[in-house]
Amino acid sequence: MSARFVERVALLGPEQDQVAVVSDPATRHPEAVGVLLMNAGLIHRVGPNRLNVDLARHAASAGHVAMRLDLAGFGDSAPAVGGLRFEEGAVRDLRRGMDYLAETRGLTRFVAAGLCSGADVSLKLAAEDPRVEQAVLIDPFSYETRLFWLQGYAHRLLRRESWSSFIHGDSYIRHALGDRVRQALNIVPEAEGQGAAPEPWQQPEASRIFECVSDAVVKHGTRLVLAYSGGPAWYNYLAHLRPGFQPHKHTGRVLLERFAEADHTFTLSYHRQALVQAFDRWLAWRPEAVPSFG
Amino acid sequence: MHPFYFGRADRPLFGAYHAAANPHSTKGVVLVHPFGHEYFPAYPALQQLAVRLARADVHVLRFDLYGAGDSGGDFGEGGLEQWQDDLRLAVEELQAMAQVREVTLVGLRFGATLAWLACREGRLAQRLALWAPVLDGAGYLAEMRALEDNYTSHALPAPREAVARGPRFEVLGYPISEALEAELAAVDLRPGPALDLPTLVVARPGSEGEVHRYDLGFRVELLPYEEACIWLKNESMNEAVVPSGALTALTEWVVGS
Repeated sequence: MSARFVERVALLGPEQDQVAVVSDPATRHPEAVGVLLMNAGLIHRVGPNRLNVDLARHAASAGHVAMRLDLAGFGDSAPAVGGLRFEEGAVRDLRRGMDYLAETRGLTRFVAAGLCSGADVSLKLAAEDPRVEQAVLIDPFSYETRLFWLQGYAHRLLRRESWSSFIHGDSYIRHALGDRVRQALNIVPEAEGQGAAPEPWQQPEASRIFECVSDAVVKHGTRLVLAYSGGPAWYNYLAHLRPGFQPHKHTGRVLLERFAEADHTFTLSYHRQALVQAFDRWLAWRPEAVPSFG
Repeated sequence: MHPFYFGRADRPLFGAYHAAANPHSTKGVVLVHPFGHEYFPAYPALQQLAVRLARADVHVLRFDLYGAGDSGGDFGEGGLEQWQDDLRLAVEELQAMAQVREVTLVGLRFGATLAWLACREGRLAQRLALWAPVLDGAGYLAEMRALEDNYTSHALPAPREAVARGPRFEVLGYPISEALEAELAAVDLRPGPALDLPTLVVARPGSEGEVHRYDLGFRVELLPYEEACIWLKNESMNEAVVPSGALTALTEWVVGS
């Protein structure tokens, strides 16, 4: 292992069945924080293309303590018992991670960083736990505005594959239009009643997002970093975030960055490297030094 | 499941040990993951395979090769010789942990190839299960290049700068060094020499694994595999495919020895 850090397994929870890996620095930064990294979608704690491993090792090399962990039921962690909703269970699991680092490493301040669903969970944690002084949200939530839909449809219309699908009858737009027509004519689809179709993922409501942002930023003074890739078009409409975040602008505690060339999971090593370098900056970011929204 | 690190301090390997339901069992399996871009999509299936084997009284060690998963190093530092050493260490670790006397290596994709190569170098295991093995390294490289070309041409928002400034050759985010490329190009299991080792080949009908199975060993059984190619990247991070039929058949083969 690198001389700059060492990695160890940590088992969390009352049953010791939640798996985490802690990266300890060889030399602790005078203002060391605990960096929490978690699952993105179903991918286990190492993150897509080992993104969490890169971020954890980079943070540890800079003198911080990093923990990448599997939430209950993900990766190598046992499923949760107790019937909590996903977000509630995730917050409980991350708090266990913070408690562990507080007890074993004496840390009191934390940074929660996650991609996609991990970003949503990080924000929720920041809203609920004042120990989180910074949340790094990579391709987090979005919410629906007129421009959101326009951008989504424009993206599809510009793709050759979309037109091919349209002609062959397997197109999102064609299905969407069909649904609208059926709704207008009050026609019940044939498949209905033969078994429930899975519920599609729902965009979180803007009001819920901003409630979390308000709790985190205003109530707890958490710094928020929102980093957007150039991946799915609906993640990249930065302007639509501004009105919601405007009330917090004066606090200087929300930072937006865009990685327009990267895909959603920062697949190429060049893009991961750019994200890791930015992560260094974000860990050192203090609101006085960097203005929000450029 | 007991997760832990093993190996040298400067080359740590992450392992996950699944104890057999019957602690007195002397049967053990070391699972060898695919490498690079094929590692993540296949992870849930191999994890489930470990759980099933352990329930069937088999001690199991899953582990990450150097430069993969939670193990130390970067993928670009990997090489075939070192990875075979990692596999030997994993076998020794399992034998030491669980008093295992009969070891089966179960590898998926290039993990299967590594397992075969390591067994060719010396008697490492008593049985071998090769799941969709890569038999032709040059063909595998060509396949990876096509995958990367397709990705950079169609999936990246604006690929030029990243491709120009990135590593010389990478496959969906995994840099292939010149040395590794040369090693991969030289891999060819098709003409033998065959191993005198009970071997199971799990392969799609018509694939190279099925067509060339007799080159792999004197005592080869074939299990046709018709479920999803779980090692191929899934567009969604929110879905995982676990091929139940193959896992059941593999478990039965290991237990039935």
